[in-house]
Amino acid sequence: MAVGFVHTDFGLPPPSHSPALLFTVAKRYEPLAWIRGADRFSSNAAVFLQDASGRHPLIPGLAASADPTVSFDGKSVLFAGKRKAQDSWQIWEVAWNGDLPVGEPRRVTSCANDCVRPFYLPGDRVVYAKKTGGRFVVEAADLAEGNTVQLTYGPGNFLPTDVLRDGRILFEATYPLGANGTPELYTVYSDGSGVESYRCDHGKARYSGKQVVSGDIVFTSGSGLGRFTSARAQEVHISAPAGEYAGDIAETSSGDWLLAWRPDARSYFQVKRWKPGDGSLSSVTAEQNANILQPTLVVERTLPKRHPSGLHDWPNANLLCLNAYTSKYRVAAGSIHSVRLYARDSTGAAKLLGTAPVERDGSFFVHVPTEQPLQVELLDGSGKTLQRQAGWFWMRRGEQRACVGCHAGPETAPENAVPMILLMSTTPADMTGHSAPGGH
Amino acid sequence: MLGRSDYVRKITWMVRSAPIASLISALLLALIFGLILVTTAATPPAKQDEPTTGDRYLSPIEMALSPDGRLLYVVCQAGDELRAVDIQSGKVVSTVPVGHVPSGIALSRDGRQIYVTNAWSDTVSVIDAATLKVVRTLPTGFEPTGIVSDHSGETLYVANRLSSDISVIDVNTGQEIKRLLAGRGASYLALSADGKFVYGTHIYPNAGAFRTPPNSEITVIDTARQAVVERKRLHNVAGVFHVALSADGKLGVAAQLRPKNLVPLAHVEHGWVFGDSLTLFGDDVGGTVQVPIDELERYYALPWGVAITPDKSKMFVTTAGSESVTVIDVRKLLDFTRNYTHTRKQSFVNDLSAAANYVTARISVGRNPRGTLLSQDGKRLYVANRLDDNISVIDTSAEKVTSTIDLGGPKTVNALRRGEQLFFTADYAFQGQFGCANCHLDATIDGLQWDLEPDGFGKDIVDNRSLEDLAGTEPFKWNGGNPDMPTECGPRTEMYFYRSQSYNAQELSDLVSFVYSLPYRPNRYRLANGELTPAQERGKAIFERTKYKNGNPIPEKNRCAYCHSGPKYTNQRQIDVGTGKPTDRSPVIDVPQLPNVVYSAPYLHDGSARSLEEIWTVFNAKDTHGVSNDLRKEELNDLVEYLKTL
Repeated sequence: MAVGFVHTDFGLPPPSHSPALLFTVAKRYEPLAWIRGADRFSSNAAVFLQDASGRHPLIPGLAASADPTVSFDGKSVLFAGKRKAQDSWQIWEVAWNGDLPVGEPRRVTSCANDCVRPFYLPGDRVVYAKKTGGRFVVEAADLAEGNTVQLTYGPGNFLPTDVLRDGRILFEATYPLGANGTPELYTVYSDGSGVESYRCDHGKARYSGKQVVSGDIVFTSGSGLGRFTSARAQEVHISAPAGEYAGDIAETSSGDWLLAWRPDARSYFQVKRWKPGDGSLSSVTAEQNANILQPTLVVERTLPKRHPSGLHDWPNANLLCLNAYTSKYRVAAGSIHSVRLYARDSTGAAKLLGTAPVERDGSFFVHVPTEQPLQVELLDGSGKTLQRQAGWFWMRRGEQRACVGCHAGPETAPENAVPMILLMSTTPADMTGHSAPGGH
Repeated sequence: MLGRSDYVRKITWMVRSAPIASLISALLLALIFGLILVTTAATPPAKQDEPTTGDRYLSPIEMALSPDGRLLYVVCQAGDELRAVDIQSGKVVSTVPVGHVPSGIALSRDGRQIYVTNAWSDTVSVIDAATLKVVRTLPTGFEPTGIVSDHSGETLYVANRLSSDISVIDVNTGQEIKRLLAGRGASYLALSADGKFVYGTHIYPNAGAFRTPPNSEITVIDTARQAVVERKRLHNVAGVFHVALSADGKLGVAAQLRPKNLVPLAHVEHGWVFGDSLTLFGDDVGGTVQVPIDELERYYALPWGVAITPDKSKMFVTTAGSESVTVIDVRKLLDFTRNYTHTRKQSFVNDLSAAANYVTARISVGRNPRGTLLSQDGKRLYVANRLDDNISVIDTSAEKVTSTIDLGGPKTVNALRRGEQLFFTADYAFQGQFGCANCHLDATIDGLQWDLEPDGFGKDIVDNRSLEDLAGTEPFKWNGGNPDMPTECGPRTEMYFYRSQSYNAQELSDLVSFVYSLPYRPNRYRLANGELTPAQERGKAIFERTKYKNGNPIPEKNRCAYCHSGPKYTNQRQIDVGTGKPTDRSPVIDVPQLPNVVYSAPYLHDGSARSLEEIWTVFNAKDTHGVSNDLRKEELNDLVEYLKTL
């Protein structure tokens, strides 16, 4: 595509000391197109490199490229790209010599449909979104062996947005999870277990989250910016200059943020530099007839912790709830009698898996099928629904999971007590339709 | 806590105090220990950076200031000494040798006497502050730790960790005049500003029913009566450390752990394993209120030392596993506590977002920060970084470290020290929630039983075992499932405890070396001359008997000394002795070692026996775990007396 940059103020330290900056240039950008399984960028989007010598396509000759990300040691770059316009998106990797890409890019994936939005994982693995059946699912792959594992199993679309330093994958999906709704941020371990909402103060559209050096998660909230801190259970509003923000911020070594911003919905996004707290933005780069998005600095950064998968070699999974009354929902004390679990049939309709008792303390323990959408419903003594989960979750094969309550919120730690259900039996109620619950 | 060098010192101490026979035994034990260690410890560390011969790490743990504020007295636990630091210059000006494993310090009100508890000598060293010489040594209970001097200067209160009591000592006579029952593992004491009350905490939970929430207490002593007048119950708390009082006497605070040992350890996130917290008490809050200091994704592990500024504006908490000091705005804390309690009528101790309402800063300090001390004007805070051999000096207004006082320990860090640092940090668990030392408090036990995840929820409940002198006791784990220590501390810990990438090969080697270096604590039940009391002799005969009282032979495999054989009293095999529970996947249990078994209650693989007696009176109905049903009560007592000597 033709690119005509109008501003050359990089806004970074002197060029000889500046890390290279990558960004995606796209005529059209629809940040939430993934919700319906569509492309976020126009078909001729391209990743550009801006360094001391100027701006160049990261990989000349590609029909399209987007979603640049840098390895933790700063020595390679991943991106989504197409060799030809009619190709599907694939994940590519190119080595980096400190200033420039070196050698030919290597294709990492062989997806029948699109694979986009890649990130490095510790342990020589990558994670990305793979389109299958018209939907994006999150998949992880071993770079050396090419072995893949699907990480998301709900209805709807899922797109990774970062890998957190504690090893979890930050991804965006709708809230309620797997249902039509508002984009929200979630986490999952790199083996697909432990899926949960990052925070439970659901409201505004939240997407394109990135973790900054402080550990906070910064993301697009509505059209502005929001932040999750470790200390707070609710989103913290970021008072940034007026305009619209596209998320996917990059943080410089001085703590400034590079972010895609536009004054209004009629304008194109351009990359600005902002010192958090300042009243104004400074220009980094812009283009007259295209958006500039996803600023990415080619620098070494902290290697996240590798998640040591503790999944067992069992076909199914076990779910323990400590106390269903611990909930953001208001459920009258003593009213919960039983729990139902649902999966989805081939038409997408809820399919009852079974019913299990809930003990007086609100605990229940069930053995469930894996790698498919699951939904919980609480019932009173007459079989009337007290509360039904709005969205869906999943469990990985061999996963054992315990929850504080039903939608308790990540800020709620468990009370230390033996769940009554485990005093009754350590064998979970079977919801799999098989005769040997317990999974082992 | 204590490394191999401490073990050697322990042997030396034994030699000094024992006759020739015991001396030879001790040397043999040392030789055997050395040989076993050589053959069983992990691969020696690659780095050859041992400290210079003769140098010992210091491990500063507690401090006191001279009344004029010129000298900082630092208790150096591994160095067996007190070091005096000139505050102005930041230099060590004097070193005072004291007893073994010094652990606590107090000054007389006039500042003329310095009292240092010696945990492994069961004494208090009395030091003349003018000459900085030990002038007297006073006897205490077992493993004296915390100490305070009353306002009269005539009475000392000493918390004895192993005898779980508080010695009341007449300073003039040097005699213990009373022994007050305290919580299990009594360790830390604080005197109220008016001198009327002593507050005591303890590091192990009090004995309770199996699989019920642990309970601890703050023991309150009326100094006029020298009697316990109150036990403030701390529900679901196990592991209470320093306690401090405000100058106006209206606010008390104790640092504590809230373990989640009763829920399956399916994961770590959301405070699933430990809650780091404080208990507030006093007129400012009424009763007791537990408050968390953790966040949603970051944990401040092992809150240990606490201090309140003289104006009660701030509170400082050292977090021993997180290398930091948490700063709390007291007014905000009290406001939040009152408002929350008033409006919601419930506790917020499990709310990981609560701390945002009163924690104002987290200050990075050195490794394993323990004791903390405010200058008299409250402007400076001193923090003892136990595993860095230095003291952080914090400006309490700026909430920043302004200087670090080097106490003069070795400049190199050897494999054992690295292993010790790994043992005490929480950096390796998911989001920094806990480390080895959370469950092995000061490298001992926690007195708790845990429901680990891999075996299924509610299954295979396991008691926390002692780590003393482990060489020759392999395999590990309650069922002997882990053949060696690298297996125990390596992938298993990473996958099912920490749930996060943990040790590399070098680190694992260092950690294992440290764990294997942990020595036995001195056994207080053996006579100094090495002989047994009549009751212990009778108990030994029962332990070693081969016949029932009726003269019939006891099958060999049902004799105590069959399984509990060898130098560590374990044949290192796995046997069904009928103590398995319906929730255990297998009744086959690894035979545990018995040395110092007296200190490691509760008992059996799952901790279901609260005392040694209960092993037989409650859990041996069919004489499958040795023969005990033909014993009279007195004979069982004798057996227990003998076991205490092992």
